[in-house]
Amino acid sequence: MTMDRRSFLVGAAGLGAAVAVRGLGAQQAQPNFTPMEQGAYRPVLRDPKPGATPSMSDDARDALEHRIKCQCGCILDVYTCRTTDFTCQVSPAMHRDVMRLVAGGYTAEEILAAFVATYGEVALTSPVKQGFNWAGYLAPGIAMATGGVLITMLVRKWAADARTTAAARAAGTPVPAAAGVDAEDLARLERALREDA
Amino acid sequence: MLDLILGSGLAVAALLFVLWPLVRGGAVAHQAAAAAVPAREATALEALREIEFDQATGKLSPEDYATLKARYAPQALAELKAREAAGTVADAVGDAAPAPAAAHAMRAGDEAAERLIARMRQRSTTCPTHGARPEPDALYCSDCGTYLASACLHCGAPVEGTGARFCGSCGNALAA
Amino acid sequence: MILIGELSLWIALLMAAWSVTTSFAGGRMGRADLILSGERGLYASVGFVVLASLGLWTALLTSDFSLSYVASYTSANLPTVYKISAFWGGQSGSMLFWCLILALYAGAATFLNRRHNRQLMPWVTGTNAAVLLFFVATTAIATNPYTRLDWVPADGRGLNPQLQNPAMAIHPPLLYLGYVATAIPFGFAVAALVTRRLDAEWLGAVRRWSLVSWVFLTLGIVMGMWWAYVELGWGGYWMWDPVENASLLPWLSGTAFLHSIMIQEKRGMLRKWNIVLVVGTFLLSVLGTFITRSGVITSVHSFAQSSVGTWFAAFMVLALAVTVFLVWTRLRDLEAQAQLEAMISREAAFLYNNLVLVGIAFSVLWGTLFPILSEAVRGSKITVGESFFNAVNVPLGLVLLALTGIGPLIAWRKASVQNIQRQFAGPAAFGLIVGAALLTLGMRRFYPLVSYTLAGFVAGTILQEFWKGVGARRRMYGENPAVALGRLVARNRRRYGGYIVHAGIVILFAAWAGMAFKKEYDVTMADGDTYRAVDPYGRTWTFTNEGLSSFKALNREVVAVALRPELDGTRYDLLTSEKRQHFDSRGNPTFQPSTEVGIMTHNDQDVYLVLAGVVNGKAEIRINFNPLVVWVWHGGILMALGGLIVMWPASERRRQQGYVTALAPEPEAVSA
Repeated sequence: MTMDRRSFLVGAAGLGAAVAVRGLGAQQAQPNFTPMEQGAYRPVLRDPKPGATPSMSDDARDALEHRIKCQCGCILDVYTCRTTDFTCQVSPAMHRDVMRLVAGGYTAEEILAAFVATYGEVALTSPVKQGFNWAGYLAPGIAMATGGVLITMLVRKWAADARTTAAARAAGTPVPAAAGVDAEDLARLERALREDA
Repeated sequence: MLDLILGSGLAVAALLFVLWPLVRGGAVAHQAAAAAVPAREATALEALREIEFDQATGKLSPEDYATLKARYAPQALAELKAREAAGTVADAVGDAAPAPAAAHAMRAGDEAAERLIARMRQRSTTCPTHGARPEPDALYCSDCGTYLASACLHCGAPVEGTGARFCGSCGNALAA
Repeated sequence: MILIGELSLWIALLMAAWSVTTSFAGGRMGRADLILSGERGLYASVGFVVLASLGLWTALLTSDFSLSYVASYTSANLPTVYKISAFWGGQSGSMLFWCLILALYAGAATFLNRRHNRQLMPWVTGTNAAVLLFFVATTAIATNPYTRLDWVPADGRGLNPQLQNPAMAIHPPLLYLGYVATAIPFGFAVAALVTRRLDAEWLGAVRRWSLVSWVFLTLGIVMGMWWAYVELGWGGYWMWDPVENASLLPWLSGTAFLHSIMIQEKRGMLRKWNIVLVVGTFLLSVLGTFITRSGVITSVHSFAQSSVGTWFAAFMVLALAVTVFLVWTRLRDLEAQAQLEAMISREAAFLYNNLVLVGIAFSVLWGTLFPILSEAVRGSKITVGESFFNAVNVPLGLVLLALTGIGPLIAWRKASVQNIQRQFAGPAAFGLIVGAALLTLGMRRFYPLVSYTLAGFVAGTILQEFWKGVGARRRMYGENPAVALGRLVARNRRRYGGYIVHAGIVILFAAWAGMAFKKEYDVTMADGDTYRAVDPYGRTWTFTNEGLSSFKALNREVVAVALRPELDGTRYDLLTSEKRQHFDSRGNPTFQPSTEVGIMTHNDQDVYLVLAGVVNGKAEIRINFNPLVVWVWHGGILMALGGLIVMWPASERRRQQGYVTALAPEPEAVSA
């Protein structure tokens, strides 16, 4: 049956048989879900500062965790991932690191720097403003500004053209003020315009 | 096995369907050409209505309004007269006395006259659903049988509006 | 039926190839027989794509696990509705689904134009068939849904539980209907360029198809937001995920086109730009599909990805090359007498509207592709997150909102000082009153304040437009207000349907701005515990944990928590959130556990409950207060309704073609 099907197929398709068969054969079942990389966690540890007190409130810490990206393969930040996804092992572990650093008296910027030192810049939800990353931040603004200037110049040029044409026309023929239309005609036109049922 | 036979049958049927125009050649070409419908022109009257409306809602400056009106008014007038002259009172003046249409049209200039002729020509050969008729003096649409002429065959009364199905005077059906 | 489906895919491929060849040849030689044969080839190809789709549906419904696709995306115990929707749940199936929609659209385009646009149609049919050819070829060769497994598994893997949601059964089809509809305007653009018939004629055909695409994209995007909100559990509805962005891109450029088309109609200007927008919208749609399918960018939506990326890349390059070549060789036909009288004019407002829309599209595209870019430049994938997109797009969005209010008020050509005073006084006052009121009520955040002020201004504009329109009709036609309002919309569908869309936009912006005030609480509760939380309006809610429960249902095992919300002595219905572990028909667990959030919707805010997990018998819970969320859905639906009104065909007799405001360039007045 399979042979029948295939030979018929190749014959009917009349395409390059090789292409068809390869197309049929090469395909395999695809994994349909990206597995989480639960091994992606790497500890971010720093000794507490001498005589350290917690550097921020819980709310501030949650806000900070919104700025750190979870490394489990999701696209969420640490706070959102750990409060949404029960199965993620990475975000709670990262959360514990954050809590330890907060208790150790580190400021938000120091904590972010510590995470970047361990994971690289991928640990941040928005890239630091330096080097090539500026291109990321500035390109849309530059594009908009350029576009704005271009359009404004274009409109000015077109406006100048329009004035020239208008002047030329004014010098030439006057606007035909409904020439050749008498009062009776105007009245019937008005009547026609008033009908729109 | 049944699937295979069905599949082959379908494939062959499709092939016939697709290749038929090439076999038949010229005849098909004529059919296709005859079926084409020209795009409907905007009428100056409609444009004028929109101009009035835009002026009333502040979308046109007074000067532009004056200029536009001056340009479209004569055209719209010519259209109106052409319609009256043709005896079709689609959405134009209803109660106006039958004016000496041709004379007015002449006064509106050569362009208006041209339009008038064009309208009259178009009227007698246009079906509201199937467009221009190849036969210039058709009474019925050769595609759907809709009545196209301007007078009833039973009582001779003028029929207002192409595409009407019953006579407004005697009530007889105008088309099958 | 399955075998017929499999064969049909290949026959469809041949028919599409035939249609491309004969249509183009017929158009080139002006031979009606070839043209007709090309059209029939397209129809045949439509029929076979339909058969191929029916075949896959048969396989899915009868759980024929000898097909790799069926085994990968369904299981025997999957509810029937999700067996049907599994058609677009995976890579190969969604590609076939693309083909199906494209085939139906292309067939409809050819059929509806069998008596119109005859000079354009061979090229339209040919181009559409070429696009169809590409998609069918990609499906059949690179990712064939009929691929067999060497052995037949006892059961399939099942559908990802996140896709087992009613919204997911509708959201992808809507989005695809939107994406794919952009192919038809592309076909018309190519045809217009090839035949050099670049006047307003092709625009008429293109406008309606663009609207079809726009309405479906709008609905699809809003439905996607709803799905993300109720299914993913992070508490919001939009987080600038690459796939979300991908659906936004063609929407933005399509919206720009629907506005700039008006300038071409009224003034004959912007011809090149409109071609760019039509082609750009199509390419962005293909890019969107490419992003979803290729897996080049990490996304929550990567349910289906593989190696079709190369195909898509090749197609986009080819389509772009063809367009650039055609535009380049026809630059002179695209020249227009471009004149614009003043900076303060409707035309200029449209230009800036286009700038902002395209600017937003660019920044979204830039942010989406930035990981790829930074990898190329610096060797590491740097993702830009929500904060980047918000930083860039919130100001742009507000400018756009302002233009939504300004544009409709300005006169064509040149607005006089008098005109501006008369038109702007009401709406501006309305906006300022809204802003001042919120300021007195204690709102101190900058962006929300600006948003609400502008929203008030735009709302004022819309109300004033309807008011003036009704007034004008009453004066002109002596109608009573109700009739005047009805006819106002019915006779000017484009304009007033557009205003209804604008009203939807106002509501959306107001709802988005509200989200700035959301509150989140991260709580651990044992059974019987209570928790107090303050909502954004300053009221204190009490939540009592009524207990955890676990039970089996259909194809899943569920752990649920139920909270009793109370406010000012009023007890509300229980709010429950679930963790679900799905299993297949033999009881083996499949997929990661998924979250089912509990949402209590009021007009002023949603109370949103997520069970993150259970630790030592205690529920780990997040409670969100999300202000004004319900208005996002209302606004989205209103936009789609407005779009439908715009799109609704007027009867032939009443079709408004518009007048031309090009006052200066009367042919005889302008000496070349």
